[in-house]
Amino acid sequence: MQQQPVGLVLGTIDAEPLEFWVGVEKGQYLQLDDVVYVDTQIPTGETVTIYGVVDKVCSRYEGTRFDSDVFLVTEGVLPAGVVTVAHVSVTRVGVDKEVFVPPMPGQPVYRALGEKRDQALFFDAMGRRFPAGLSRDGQVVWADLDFLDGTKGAHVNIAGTSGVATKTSYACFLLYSLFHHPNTQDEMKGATAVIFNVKGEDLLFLDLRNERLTSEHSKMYERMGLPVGPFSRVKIWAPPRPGWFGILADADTRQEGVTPYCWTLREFCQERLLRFLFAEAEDESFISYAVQVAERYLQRETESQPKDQAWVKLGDKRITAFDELVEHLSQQGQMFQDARISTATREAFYRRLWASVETVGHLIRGDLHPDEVEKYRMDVWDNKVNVISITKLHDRAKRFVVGVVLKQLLEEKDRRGQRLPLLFVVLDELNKYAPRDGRSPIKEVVLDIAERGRSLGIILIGAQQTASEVERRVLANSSFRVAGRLDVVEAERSEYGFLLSVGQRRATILKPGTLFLFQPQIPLPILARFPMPAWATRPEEAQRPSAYDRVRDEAQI
Amino acid sequence: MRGIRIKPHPWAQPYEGVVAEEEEEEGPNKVFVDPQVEVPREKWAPRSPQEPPDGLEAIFVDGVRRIDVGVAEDDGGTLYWGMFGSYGVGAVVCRQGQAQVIEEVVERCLIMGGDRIPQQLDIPCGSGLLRYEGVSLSSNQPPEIRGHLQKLMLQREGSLVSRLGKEEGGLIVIDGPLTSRVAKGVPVIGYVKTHHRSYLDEELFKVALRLSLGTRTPLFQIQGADPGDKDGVDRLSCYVRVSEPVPGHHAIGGIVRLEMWQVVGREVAARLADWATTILPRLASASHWDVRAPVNLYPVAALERELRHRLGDHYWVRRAILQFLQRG
Repeated sequence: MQQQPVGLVLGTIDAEPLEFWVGVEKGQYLQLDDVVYVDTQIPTGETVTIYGVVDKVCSRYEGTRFDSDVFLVTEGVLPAGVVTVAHVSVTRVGVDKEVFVPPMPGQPVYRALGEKRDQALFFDAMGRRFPAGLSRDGQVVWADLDFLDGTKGAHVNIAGTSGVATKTSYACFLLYSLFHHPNTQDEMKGATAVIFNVKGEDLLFLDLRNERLTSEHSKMYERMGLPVGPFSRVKIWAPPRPGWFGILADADTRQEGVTPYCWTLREFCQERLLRFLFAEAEDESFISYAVQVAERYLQRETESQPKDQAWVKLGDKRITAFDELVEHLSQQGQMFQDARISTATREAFYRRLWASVETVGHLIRGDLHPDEVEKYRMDVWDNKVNVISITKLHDRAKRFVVGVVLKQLLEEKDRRGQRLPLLFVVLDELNKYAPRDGRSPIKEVVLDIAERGRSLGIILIGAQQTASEVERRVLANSSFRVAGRLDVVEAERSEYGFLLSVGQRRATILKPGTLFLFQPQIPLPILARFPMPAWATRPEEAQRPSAYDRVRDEAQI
Repeated sequence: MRGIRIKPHPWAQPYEGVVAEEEEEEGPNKVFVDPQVEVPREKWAPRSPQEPPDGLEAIFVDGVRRIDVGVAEDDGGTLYWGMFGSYGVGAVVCRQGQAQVIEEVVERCLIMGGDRIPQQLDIPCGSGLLRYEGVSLSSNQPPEIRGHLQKLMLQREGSLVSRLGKEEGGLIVIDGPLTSRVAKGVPVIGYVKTHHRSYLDEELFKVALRLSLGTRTPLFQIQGADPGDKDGVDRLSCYVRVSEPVPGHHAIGGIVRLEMWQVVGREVAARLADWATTILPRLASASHWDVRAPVNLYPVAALERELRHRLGDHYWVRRAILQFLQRG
């Protein structure tokens, strides 16, 4: 059952081993992203199959000379032929043996379906694969787990303008696919994901089914062999409300099932977390020296204090609140003098420290009972998915939380010394946490994850609007590069070279839920669509709206 | 391929590769013209026909030819001349909104003079074979051998016109004057672009020069004017303006002459002339498009180009023939 060719290799334009043109047969069509192949014979008698993806299609008149001839042709005055040609970028030459010869003019070109398509896109060579979306013709686009879990590579970087449902939505979709697809779910049994909810509160409902998912999108899940539903074993973390007497999670749209998180003053001192209050990249290096001096002081002073205690004893004073700690540090001028830190630097250090009392103070507590210390300690390992909301926090506090969480996770993984179980970290706004220019303690942690995460088993799924503003080494260490819709100017930057010039132009008009996926094995970016979340992203989408409303109303009394 | 003694010879070189369209031969100078077949002489004036019926199709038939390689054959000291030639004949149909090439035939022949009987040759050329039919001619004069290629082409045109005249119901226009190639009685128009000889006296020709766009002169009869036809077959003719003259050019620019067989009847001829008068101005080419603009019509110019293309690249074909003759 040989299928009809879609066209023939052109002879009027050079056919090359890596690209060629196809004259499209009458009654057939080729569109962008179609996968095709052509068999060519070499003198040894072997047949070499050349696979490729259509990345340009043109049609034009033949037999006309001037642009204005179009009017004559449509009036029925001038006879002209119409021809459609398609440009094919070659993805693969041969399956077992690579022979880089061009296809011959006149050879028939076929649509690659089934096994041929898998070969064209190297899906056949992926030992452990999971769905990364659907092509526009509804076929599964596979991703190679070897390049994600650290075996051969790791990390994902996603770029895209905000509000076009690409970055965190796609990051969550990838996790969902990994955790739920029959090919990978067993391997992912022990894995844990930490997702930072940076903006809005759309990620606080990962554990609730999206009741408004249309059947079209449900079918997309089914086509990929995925169940339709929410994540399981989700823990939602939110910071405590500032200025509130007790500890109550600070989230606008959800209270039920949200756990507050905070750190104790003792942890703050013993684990040297002070630096994360000075995490803006523009902070001058001489301040960081003052920070080190202060950190060393706090660590030394609190060294032997017991683990279940939230407060600290500094000198002979029991300190139970962050502002008291700052107050105490303000009185340790001698410490800086001994370290030969200038008065100006010291003053700058104090100014910033005082500024953080208002914004970060409620996250660093000394007023907790030992039970509460245990309850609000962010322990992510027992959950499949952890969503950490930082959306309500001041910018300085956001950096503090991201920095501290990443540092603690990295230390924990270092201590365990094993790659498995895997830890996935989803972090948006990478340009803020790992900017291209400058140094900061958070950037160091992110870089550490990017560079050592592959062997440590920490997989960074990073996202940002503009990859051009993100540290190059973070991008370079990402095996998977994803681009959703991009700003016109941004799309032209070299960071998106993997899209090739056609893709760079197309990236500016991508629809929501559509993106280009580049992975190491395939030399071209593949266009993929992914479905709307099967989990809720707003209270209205959640399964039990009335129950939810009730809980919210109660919480807001 | 033993036994081929023909060799390339440059006698035809000035003509080789030149793709010639039909040469318009307007017949002998002495012809008798009767201008009163449609209206009396004193009523001669431009006529504005009505629009033709909707959906009327106009079909244009034309041909091109080319000498591929000139050859000579030496038989015991006598030289015989000949040539490899190619010609193409085709038709375009113009409907409202669509013009389309409906017929394209390319034929190739090896013509030998002096009653030599050349064999049919299949000459390998690239991925295919070019078949040259053997054609024998009694004359051994190069001009007549050249002329024979045109004759073959005209015959092919004629048979195409006869066939189309039976199948299609529209207006059929053949490029050039009507000659013996076109069967008598076929309702077809010969489209004559040149005005090398005059059919009307001065007074009546003034009427022709006064024509405005989309008008024609009354019909006049040309008696027994076919040079190739011993019997002489009468034709009906008229002048039509298909385009305004180019500024600065003579007023004759933009005027063509149409010919129809008289045997189709005056009524039919007048109707064909009326249709052509209204349709042709739409098809007249713009001056930047064709050197013979405006009277060379768009569909005809495009057809000629298409046919020329179909003859194949001359240097490519020529090389194949030379190679073939050399290897014998």
